[in-house]
Amino acid sequence: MNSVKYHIFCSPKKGSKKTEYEDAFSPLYSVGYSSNIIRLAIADGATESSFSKEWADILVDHFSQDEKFDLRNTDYLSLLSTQWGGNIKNDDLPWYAQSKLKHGAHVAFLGITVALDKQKVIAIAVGDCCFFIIRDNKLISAFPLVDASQFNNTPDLIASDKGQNITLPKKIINFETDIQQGDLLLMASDAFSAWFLSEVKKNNKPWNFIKEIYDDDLRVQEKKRLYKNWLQIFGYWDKEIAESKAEDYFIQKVFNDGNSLADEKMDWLFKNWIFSNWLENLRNTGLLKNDDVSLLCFEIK
Amino acid sequence: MAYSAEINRKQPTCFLFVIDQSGSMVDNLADGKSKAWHVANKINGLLQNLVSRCSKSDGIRDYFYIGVIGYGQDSKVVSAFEGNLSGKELIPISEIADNPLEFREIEQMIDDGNFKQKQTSKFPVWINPIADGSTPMCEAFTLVNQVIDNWLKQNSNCFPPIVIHITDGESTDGDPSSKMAQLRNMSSSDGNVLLFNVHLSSANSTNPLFFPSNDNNLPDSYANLLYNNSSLLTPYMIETAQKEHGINCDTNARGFVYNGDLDTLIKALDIGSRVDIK
Repeated sequence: MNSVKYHIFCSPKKGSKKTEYEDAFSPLYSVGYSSNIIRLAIADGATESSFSKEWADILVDHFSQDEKFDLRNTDYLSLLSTQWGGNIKNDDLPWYAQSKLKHGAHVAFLGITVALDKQKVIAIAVGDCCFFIIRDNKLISAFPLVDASQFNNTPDLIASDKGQNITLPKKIINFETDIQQGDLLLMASDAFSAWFLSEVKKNNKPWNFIKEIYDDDLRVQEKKRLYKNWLQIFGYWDKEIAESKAEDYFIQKVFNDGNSLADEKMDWLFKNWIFSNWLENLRNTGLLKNDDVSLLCFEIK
Repeated sequence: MAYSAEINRKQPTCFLFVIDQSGSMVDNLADGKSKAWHVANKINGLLQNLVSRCSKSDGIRDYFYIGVIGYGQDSKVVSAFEGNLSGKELIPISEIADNPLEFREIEQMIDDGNFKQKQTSKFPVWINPIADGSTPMCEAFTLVNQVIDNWLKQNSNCFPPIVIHITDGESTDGDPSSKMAQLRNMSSSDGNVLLFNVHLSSANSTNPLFFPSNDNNLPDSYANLLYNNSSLLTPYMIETAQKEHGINCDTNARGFVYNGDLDTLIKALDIGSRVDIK
């Protein structure tokens, strides 16, 4: 079986706190290295919905863990919706939150199932979270959207309210293709996906810089220099400080298993810091729309 | 590109509703309820909608500052807010959310496709209907211009303020054209202030003029005045009109309604208050 590498990047919208981040994604432990079947998902909560983060989490968790996950099954979706409603303490909410709760939550969703032994990937999407396959340094697949011009303010969404999902079956898009050793699979929420496709249209290869950030084998000297800067900014990290960073909101989302080592978490924080600084430049220049960013990188070695 | 500034907590935008509360607003629309009643009802509904748009699981995000200016009663121009918000001219949406004047119960008939049943719901109220006095429109826009000018001094890069003016008659304190033009000439770095004029008819009028693109069918000089002082709709508003109301407006469509009825009032308020907060 091939070996795989899985990395996650996440960055909240500029001006928002980490706890206001409304994307959800399969955490690192989703990739079990002894498994031939790997299920990963990403979801983007709609800004104007309430409790959409909670709905995104439920959809992603269930897709990652349940092979019977079925968006076309209204009973299955009803169960998820009941779980969503049950997680919210309605009586504690002020009048406007109670009123908005009745409209439900809405998310865009993308899930992929990778069958390593069969060398296939199956994807399912509602909305504008996108999936890309890079092979031999070229983008060979983009799904469900293929051009930056296709992104807009009204993507298809999965609602937490059954009554709003009557037309959902028409919004579900499926995709299946072969994968090979050496392929890089990316899953990203809409703002990053739109930027990514616009870069590819200019004949750029944005995946190379992304790989340089998370791949420990690449550009070691540059990373060492950056790491020195990071230590100067944040202070020397000993194990105790690193343990305390387990409180970090993103650490909890990314690792989510309570077992990861402090060194792994420090390493992730450092790489995400590089990624976040790079994103900030893109946002400041207007190339990247200011929105939450989630980027999952899955490499078949 | 104009009208594309991001709307967020650090860079909010503002809505200012300017409502005619003169004596003629006591006249009824086709359903037998007064124009004043409908305007107050729809503004309350719109405020509730704006609160809802800003509501997240962790509280209200102050994307918007809101004001409601009434003119007419005692020939004065004042904030139409009452209770804790009395006298306040432009306030963050969170303050509106936390300070409704009261909650009123309304009975509605709910039809879920299988059977109909009456349901009582509670709705927040911030302003009451008033129909009394003259129509000091010039004085109203003097205050509006001050409020917006002060806002822009502190928020120079904001998505431009939107002013929605609702009236049923002509000004009694002179020609407001210069004041309206002055308002429309104010701007942030993202574009000029938007002024939309919604004129309501009496119960017997027909053929409302809705978001026209030219002045070809304007019935009188007063319609001309309001049309010439109404801003163009933004692309997002035009998209909303088409997608959600099935109304096709071209790029020259102005935020202007003449001889409007209840239906056009609802649509005008909905479309005129649409901004993208993603």
